Amino acid sequence: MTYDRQSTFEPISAFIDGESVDPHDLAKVLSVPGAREALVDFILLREELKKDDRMPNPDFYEGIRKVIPASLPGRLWSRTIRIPLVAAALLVALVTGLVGGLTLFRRPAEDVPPPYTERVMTFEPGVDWHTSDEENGQ
Amino acid sequence: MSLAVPEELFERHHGVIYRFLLRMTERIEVAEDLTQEVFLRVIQHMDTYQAQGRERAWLFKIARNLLLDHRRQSVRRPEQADEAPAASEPPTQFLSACLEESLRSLPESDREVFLLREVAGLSYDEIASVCSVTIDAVRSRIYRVRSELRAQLAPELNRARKIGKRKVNP
Repeated sequence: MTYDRQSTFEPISAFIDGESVDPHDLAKVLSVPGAREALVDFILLREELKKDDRMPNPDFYEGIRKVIPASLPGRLWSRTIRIPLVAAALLVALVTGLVGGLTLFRRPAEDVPPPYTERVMTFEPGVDWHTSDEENGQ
Repeated sequence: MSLAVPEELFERHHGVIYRFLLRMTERIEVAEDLTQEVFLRVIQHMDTYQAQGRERAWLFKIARNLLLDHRRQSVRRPEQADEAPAASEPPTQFLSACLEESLRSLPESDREVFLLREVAGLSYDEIASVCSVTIDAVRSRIYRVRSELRAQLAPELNRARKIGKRKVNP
């Protein structure tokens, strides 16, 4: 690999951008005089550009609210929160229903006390009912 | 995968789209108008949006198309191009000021690719998709810009490196 002025440090440039580079090419390039300075310069340029934090003027946001009303922070927040809240409510309802259902319908029989006697009915033979022999005799 | 809604895309990306457009147009009002137009287009085309994790590339493709339209209109109406360039918060650092000047001197196609990488944070693959060029072209253009900036800003970068050394070894 030859290192002309045009492409000498290109692997370094691609490497700092997170792109795939041939490790052997990178190793060769890093051994070239001036490679360290080139690497530092590329990073310095990046850092200078990162300092730019300019944002649109407040008037811009007034205008964009008409275009995207939902871009209001409150609306965005409520949408962000609304979905997890609904999901949580559904989960609670599901768990409550499941536990309640199990409690009601799968209670063991021995745990259920017998009902108290509220009315006693007595039947007297010959009064409340008659045998067939008595009927035939009559 | 749930799709982001326009307001979420706006919250996440409007700042970086604005800064990219501001550096490309050097006019605050134009950059603001184009940024707003980007999100109008997003709302209009949200139903066809299937970026699958490439939302930045999609947004910057819209921004770039709008920028190209703006350039074509400026050529037809050159009086607009005569407006004085403005900067809301001009860079105060010496290197930053020189960098601004050097970036202006670059061919627009090179500057665009470089800014999509350094300001927008797009990968080479995304830049290639946005600008309809090959990844190799992106790679070589970015390197060409860096080399050019190094050449133009050699004294400033040299000074910045020395300052860095002093900070490490006082």
